[in-house]
Amino acid sequence: MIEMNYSDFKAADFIMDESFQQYCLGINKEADNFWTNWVIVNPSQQKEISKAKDLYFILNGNNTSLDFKRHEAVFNSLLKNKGIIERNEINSLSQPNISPSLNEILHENELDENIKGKGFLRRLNGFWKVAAILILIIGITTIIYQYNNKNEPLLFATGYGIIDTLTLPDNSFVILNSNSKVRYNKNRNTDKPRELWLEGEAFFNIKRIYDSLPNERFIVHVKNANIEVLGTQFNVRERRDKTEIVLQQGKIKVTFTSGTEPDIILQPGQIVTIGDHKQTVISNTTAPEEYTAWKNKKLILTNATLKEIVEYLEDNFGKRIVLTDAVLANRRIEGTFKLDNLDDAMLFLSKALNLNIIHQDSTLFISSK
Amino acid sequence: MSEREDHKLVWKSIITGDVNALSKLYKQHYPGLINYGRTIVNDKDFVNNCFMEMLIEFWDKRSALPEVENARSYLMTSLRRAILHVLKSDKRRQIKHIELQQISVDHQWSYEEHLVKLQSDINLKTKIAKAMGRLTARQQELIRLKFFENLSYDEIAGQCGITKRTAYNIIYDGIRILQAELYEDQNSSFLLNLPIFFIPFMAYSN
Repeated sequence: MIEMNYSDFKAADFIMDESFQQYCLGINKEADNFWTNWVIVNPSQQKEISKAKDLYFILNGNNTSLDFKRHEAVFNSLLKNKGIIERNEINSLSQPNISPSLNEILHENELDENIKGKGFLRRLNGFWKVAAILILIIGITTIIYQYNNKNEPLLFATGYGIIDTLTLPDNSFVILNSNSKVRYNKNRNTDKPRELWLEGEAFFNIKRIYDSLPNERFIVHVKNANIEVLGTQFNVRERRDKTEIVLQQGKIKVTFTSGTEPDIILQPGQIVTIGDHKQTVISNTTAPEEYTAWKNKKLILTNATLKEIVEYLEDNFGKRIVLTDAVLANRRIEGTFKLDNLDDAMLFLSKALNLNIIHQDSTLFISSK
Repeated sequence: MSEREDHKLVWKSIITGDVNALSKLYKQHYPGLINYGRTIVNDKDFVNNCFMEMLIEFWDKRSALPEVENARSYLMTSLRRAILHVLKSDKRRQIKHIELQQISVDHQWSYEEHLVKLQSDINLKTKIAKAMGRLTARQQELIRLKFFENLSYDEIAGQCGITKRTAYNIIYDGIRILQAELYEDQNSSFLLNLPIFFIPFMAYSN
């Protein structure tokens, strides 16, 4: 990277810088590292940087680094599925070349084993030679066959404060919020629908579904309900005995595990909230994307209580947060904030509501100033 | 090495069967091509699917691929064809989830129309339209090449037949105008509508 004096840059100067543009797009690791670091070291320039970013995303049609990461993951798994690249090949190819000496050593070992193997076969006479080879072939085939047919469920989980994307075998993808878990079958039985079990919160983008084929169905199981997907994008949040399903695009069918309520077919913008003991509620939103702002590490709050926010932060960052005064629970707040880490989130909260925050071990105590 | 040369080299590697070049090509052209495709069908995932399938098709018949001088423009033409093909073919059901007003086959959206369409906030929509209107046609075009097609200053200079310095200056002037229109306005409430970085809070007690 060219050494430049960025410290007296204005937004317009940043946006003109090609490495800054690449940082916004997330397509260049080097630029990414440089600018992420730079922003931390130069807090005084944060305002100009965020202005530059805003304008950049307006001009590039809102193509974010998250889109690229997501799409690149889909592309890589497509290449794997088509057998164009082998699993892990990308990693091994990007490693530096093995030095010739190491290469030679590896090669010698190989030769060694070849010689030993030949010696063993040479000591056997004709019939046993054939028999030994046959048994070997049958053995290997059986192992491979069994291995491929093993239908072990796969687990994918995220820790506190981590958001990760999972690409399913059919190229559908799931963005998993912090502290969440999905389980699905590796080899799907083609007579059965695709199925997935979720604990926590996730956003689903499921590959198109052809209604005519029953085996193309996709079902997401959560504690209180089963969601049958009819080709679509939606958000599911299952925390603290409450499940909330928000449909962003397409169509889904929700069936309830309680068995007492009729199925619901959801239209875009509709929200279903299912409680353990409470009645199911259907409501509408004009901005379903607000419910998936966490994908971009943001939280959009419309008239939320502090209690709700605290619960959300506890679920996602795994720290206990205690409100020392019961009155605090009902204070309300509105706006958008970055969810990069708990400390920043708490800082914003304390400034906005004029609060004191005390850390003690893994618990945070919130009080009024 | 200039981008143009680098793109040519990657393209050549594909013809000779280098798998790594396929991922490289994807990365190099992703931002520009996704944006280009979205002026026909405004759905990132749909355009990405078309782009990926096109690249795989290229790979399958790599030995028959032509050598190209300008990989980007070859890819743009191919992507347009691929998108229109999906729209017309019986794969139609693949796109039934895309709202019809997001598809424009007969006329592609202009850059300005597209940027305005992408914003959901009415205030911001009018602001952007107004700000873009302040630019000269030349400034608009070069800003589009830089930020929407994601070309480098070198590439823009080559394409427009001007020097790199001139290209940079034209864009810089345009950006300064946009910045002034969008940010240094007396109406600061505009910033509240941008959910991108940090947002001031409105707090009150019950």
